[in-house]
Amino acid sequence: MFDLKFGIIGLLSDAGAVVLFVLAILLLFSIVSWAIIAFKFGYIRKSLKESKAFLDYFFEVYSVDKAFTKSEEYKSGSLARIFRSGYIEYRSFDGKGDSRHSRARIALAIKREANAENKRLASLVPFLATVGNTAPFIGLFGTVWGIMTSFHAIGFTQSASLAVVAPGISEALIATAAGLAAAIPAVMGYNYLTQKIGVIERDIEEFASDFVDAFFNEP
Amino acid sequence: MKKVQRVHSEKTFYFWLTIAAILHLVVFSVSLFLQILDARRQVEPKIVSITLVSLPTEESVSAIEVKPSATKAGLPPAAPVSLPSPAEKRVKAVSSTPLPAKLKAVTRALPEKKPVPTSAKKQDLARALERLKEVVGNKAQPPQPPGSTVKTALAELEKRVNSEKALAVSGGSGERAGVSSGNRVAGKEYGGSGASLAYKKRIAAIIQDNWDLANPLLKNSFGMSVAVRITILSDGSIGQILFVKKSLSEYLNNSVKKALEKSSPLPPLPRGEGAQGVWVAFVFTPEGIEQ
Repeated sequence: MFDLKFGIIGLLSDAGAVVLFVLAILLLFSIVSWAIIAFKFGYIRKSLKESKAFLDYFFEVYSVDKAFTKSEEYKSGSLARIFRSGYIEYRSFDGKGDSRHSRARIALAIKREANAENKRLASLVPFLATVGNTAPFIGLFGTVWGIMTSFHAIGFTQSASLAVVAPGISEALIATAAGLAAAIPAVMGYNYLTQKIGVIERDIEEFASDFVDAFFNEP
Repeated sequence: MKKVQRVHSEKTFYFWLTIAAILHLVVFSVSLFLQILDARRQVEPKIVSITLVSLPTEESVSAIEVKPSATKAGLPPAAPVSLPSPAEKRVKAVSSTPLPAKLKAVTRALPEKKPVPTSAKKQDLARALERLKEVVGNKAQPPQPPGSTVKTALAELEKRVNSEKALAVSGGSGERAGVSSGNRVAGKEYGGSGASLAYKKRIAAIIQDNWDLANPLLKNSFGMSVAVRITILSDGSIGQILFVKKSLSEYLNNSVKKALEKSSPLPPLPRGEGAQGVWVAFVFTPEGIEQ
């Protein structure tokens, strides 16, 4: 029969309390990281797709009313959202007041929405950076602690043969392995998401002024 | 509106969190399953056996040469330590019934002999007897130390008579494992490998019980063996541990040493087994372990 003492279960059962605690933290980190990666991947992908579709439509019709109606279909698109906030501000004047003042108010509303959108896009992503940076160190801490206790135990056995030393070190190293397993996807996900968020942010920055102009230069 | 969107995004995030947790569980289960599958693919470890053999001392060899019936005496002293092939061991494991499951107390494995015609066999026996007689003749006339007297010669004769009587009393050599007992020729109560088979089985079982060998080592120590010769004193304590053949694995060597140390004191020697102790040899082999 298979002896579980030499498998993953064996490594975990022989590990100390600190190592187990470290492993639990790393497991939690890993689960949350993957959840963030999956959630953000879907969110950003949808945002990019809808923003592109909205921009195509916007430059096609060049009518703020039609664009606003169409933007209701792109609720996840960042650019569509920003346009909507500008349009709402534009309609609140309803042709009254100074156009210069109105322009400044619309620009402000668009900027505010752009900031909110940037925050939305970047939310949870720093956690990936935190995991990517700290998980290996947390794992290393578990390993150091495990080796420390292992050597302490070896001192009692009064034997320094490889067969006595190796199991303890092997058990301790699982913490480093877990740390790396949590950190590597987190770092990869962080880099990918940051790059995509950067693309959206540049789009917002670029098209925000076009939206403001569109409200006052309507054909 | 924004609140609704936030709630929706939170729900989505929790959904992905659950999926991630499930995926981690699945990955863990799969890795565990693969590990079990991999372990099952490997050949299951077989029992660890201790092969118990007797090492003849120089004296006992000479004693055996006197007795034509002790045919095994012709082997060199190192022969008992030689390890049988795994196939031989398996055969022995099947055939040896009275021993503990993991342990075999055996005499030396003799090479298979080809059938020889009886007439040739008789001639060979006659020649062997003649040779033995010559050897006995030579030994019966040891170089007399200068100044030896008739009294010393008589004393020696008495000793020889006594030793022959003792041999007759202690039973036939068939009851002995390996070689016959006693080194009375030399005038010493060595006992050699004269411990009875029952006693050997008993001590082998004790040592086997005390032999703690970690399984990971077994995976890596295929073909390794440790041959040890120990002196059992009359009170059962182990007087000396001599490694005849060491394994490459220090851990295996240590485990054997520890097992022997742990087993000491062994049961006292049976009466008449040797006042000064007996030599018993063991071969510790992690047999049949395949990676």
